[in-house]
Amino acid sequence: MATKTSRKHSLADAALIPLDWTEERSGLVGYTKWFLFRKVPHDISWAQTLGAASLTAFIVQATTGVFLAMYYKPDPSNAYSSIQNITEELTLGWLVRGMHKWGASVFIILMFLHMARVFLFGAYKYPRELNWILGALILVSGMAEGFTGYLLPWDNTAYWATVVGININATGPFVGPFLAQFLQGGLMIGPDTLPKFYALHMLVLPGAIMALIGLHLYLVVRLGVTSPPWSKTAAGRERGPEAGAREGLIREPATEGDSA
Amino acid sequence: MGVPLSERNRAGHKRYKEDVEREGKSFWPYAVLHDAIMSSCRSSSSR
Repeated sequence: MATKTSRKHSLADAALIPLDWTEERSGLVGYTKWFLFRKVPHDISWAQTLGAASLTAFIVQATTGVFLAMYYKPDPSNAYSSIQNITEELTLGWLVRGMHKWGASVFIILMFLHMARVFLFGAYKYPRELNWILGALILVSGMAEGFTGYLLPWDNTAYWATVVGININATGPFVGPFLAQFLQGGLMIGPDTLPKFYALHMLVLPGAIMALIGLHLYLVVRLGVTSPPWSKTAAGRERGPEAGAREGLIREPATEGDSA
Repeated sequence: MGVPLSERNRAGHKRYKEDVEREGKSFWPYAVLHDAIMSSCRSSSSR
């Protein structure tokens, strides 16, 4: 019996060796504990899972994007045929491409719903203003991902949709024409446009989104999650008679000058 | 003369932190496992 227990202990110690090794050199275990073992308000609900759902959608996009990038060829003469190869020839290629294509819409929709929740709960107010700005930047970067990714199949729909998108960009004040020329890689959409969009789509924008998500999550943990505004036991609620007086629920005591 | 908004905000957030510490539930495993996974299992089994 004693031998069995001591063997169990030594196994547990052996399992902890890599964790201790990592913690001593990076502090990563401590950060993970800081992220996981924290408290959240007791009245949070499913509405507060939309941020995690958006993050999951982004991870799906990143994972499927890596597999697509292994087979996609970003030059005008091979792009369309490589997409056909992925969809029709590769094992489960249709599934991975479908997940990436539809997942893009899911990612944007979830971000909108998450932002709507944050707005309606008033979770953008002090001290979470910076996190709202970061979230808005993630949304803009996500939409830019959608725009740059739309050209990659290099078919008629992709080409003309990008022409329209770039023309809209060109109408912007001051920087519009320069932005349009930068995106096209010249005066019109051509062979230089596709590699540029590909680089933006799979290097620059995902990198930016990952960095922004990292900061966003750091601030979520640091500042905490807000209670629903209708909760009677919301964390941070005002107590005492002054809380009711501020909301007009308790009448201020009448003074001598009051007529009625 | 009322309390300035910035001071009220700071006091509100301090109160929020204290409330969460006192009344809140742990994010892991309670909020993630119990609220999300176990409650959905319970609701599907009760159907």
